[in-house]
Amino acid sequence: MQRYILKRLLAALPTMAIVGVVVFSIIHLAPGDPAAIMAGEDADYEQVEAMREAMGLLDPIPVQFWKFVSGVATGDFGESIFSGHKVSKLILDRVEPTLSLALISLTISIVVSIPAGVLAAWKMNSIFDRIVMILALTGYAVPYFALGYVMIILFAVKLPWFPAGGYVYMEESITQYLYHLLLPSFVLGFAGSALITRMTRATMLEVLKEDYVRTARAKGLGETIVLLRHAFRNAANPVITVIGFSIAGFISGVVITETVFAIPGMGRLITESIAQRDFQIIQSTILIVALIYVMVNLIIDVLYVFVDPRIRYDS
Amino acid sequence: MSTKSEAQDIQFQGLRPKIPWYISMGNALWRNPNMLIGLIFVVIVAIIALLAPLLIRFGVLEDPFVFDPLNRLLPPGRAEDGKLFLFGSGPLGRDIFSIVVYGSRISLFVGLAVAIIAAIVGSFIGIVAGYFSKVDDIIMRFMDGIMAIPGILLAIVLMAILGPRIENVIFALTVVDAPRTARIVRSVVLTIKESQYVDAAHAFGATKTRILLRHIAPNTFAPVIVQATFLFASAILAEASLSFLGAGVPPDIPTWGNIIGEGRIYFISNSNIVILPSVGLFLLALAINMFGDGLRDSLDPKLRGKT
Repeated sequence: MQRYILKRLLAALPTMAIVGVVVFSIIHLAPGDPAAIMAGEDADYEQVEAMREAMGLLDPIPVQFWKFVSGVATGDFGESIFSGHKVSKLILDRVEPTLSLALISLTISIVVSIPAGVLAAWKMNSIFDRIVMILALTGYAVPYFALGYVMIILFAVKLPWFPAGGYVYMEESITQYLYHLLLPSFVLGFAGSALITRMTRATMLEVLKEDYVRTARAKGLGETIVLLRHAFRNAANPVITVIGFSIAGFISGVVITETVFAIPGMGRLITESIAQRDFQIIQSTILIVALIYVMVNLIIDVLYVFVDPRIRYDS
Repeated sequence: MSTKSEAQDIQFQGLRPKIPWYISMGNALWRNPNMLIGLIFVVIVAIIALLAPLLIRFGVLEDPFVFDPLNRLLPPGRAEDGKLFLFGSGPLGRDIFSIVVYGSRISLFVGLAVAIIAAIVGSFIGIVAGYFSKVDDIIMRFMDGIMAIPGILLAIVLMAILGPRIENVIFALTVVDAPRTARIVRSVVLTIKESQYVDAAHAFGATKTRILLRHIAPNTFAPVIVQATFLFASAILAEASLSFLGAGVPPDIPTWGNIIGEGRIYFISNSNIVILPSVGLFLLALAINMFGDGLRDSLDPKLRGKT
């Protein structure tokens, strides 16, 4: 097992290297000149050149790339071009809201969609199944921002049950923290549920046709045990895979949801930095987000072993 | 495989029975009312979108490019000067109904362009990676790298660099979507490469090019078409998301995403600006997905009910 994890970690290195190259090269092909922006509109040529030198933009591209890579490897992401603050600190400040939003909405969608998918497959073609499938189809097509605004209008303006936006840090008040995250997490979770529900239902339908399910029923086991112990355990792997895929969707959704609900997370940091052409922040944030994605998928591959004892990576 | 006819039989096992595509399509539509509803809706939207410039010319619709400062932020209904604002008016006094109708042109165009280009580029990459195992690893690691960056982030960064133009939106979304298509096509190619009819064709002395073009490429067609339909819907949503975040098509072009972005700060007092174009966006994406689901069930029964 350890050997497998180590092997996967090593295999993730080239992927991350490619992410680094892709991000670094697209950003350095940018036509906008950050030095000119930083120096201000009235700056003359010499001031812009001085700014360029101070920012290290005069170095040859390979040297800049090397500085970037060696910085990342030692955990030093450099300073923000715009504000001069340490990028690592700027990102760290934004991690909590983004991670909270992503994790709570992921939890909501797993808790809702797996039982919904299992029950829909169990009672195929029933009214419940139809409703679940219609909701899942809706979840695919609804734009995050539209759902967000509808929720704010319904549950924050018309019925003032929830705050319309903003964020309270966990250390300030845990109840206020959850209270502020509930509406945005629901929005993100609803859209994320669609994929998981459909996958759960589809694999459950296949598994429920298997002989061992019939045998389990024939020997008089209760439906709950048949569904959970015999059927779902065997349907779980594709569902876990789909959850892994949907993590990327969740991260994309977070960017938009943060904008709608005015949550100061990493998504907002990126959109703000793009407006300011703050290369340091953009490339570091994207690199970190990609690293999270790669790590989550590694964790999921390891999870397979616990869900399905037939899988042995060591052999 | 001693005689020629036997070998041919084996070769033909992999082919589907020859039913013309329009007949199998008709059957599928007849059996699946959801698919039919989806198709009809998309066709109606497409026709109205094509006719939009004529509708504006003959005064059925207001010109969505014209600002009307006297009629800003009106609720749905008739303005004091007698002009009809069916969906109300935006912060610059533009008629939202006209923007919704006219904006469907850009949405459909961007969605269709991304779906077609990403499908072609993705198929090409997928076929090359799947068939030529020497380059497989390099290509797929590169695709993994692109796919590890969440789509909307990659698209925003590309847009910030390239600047707000429709072609750039199409390019950015293609970069995001093509690797996903490539992965699907590659897995299909890997399976087909091992099949008996490819062995048979090889034994016949067919060249690599012939095997690729005659035996492998056609079999990737069904999954690619299905994938392209879903890309069509997701690209429409992504285009709107980009415009909403201010990283999409230029703000003066009337699109769904732009008007939603414009109405963002007024959404409590004038929720119609955000909600009504969003409903259009939602219905179009829903219709395309309903059609895509049906298409997948009929073209690729193995994937029935899955994503």
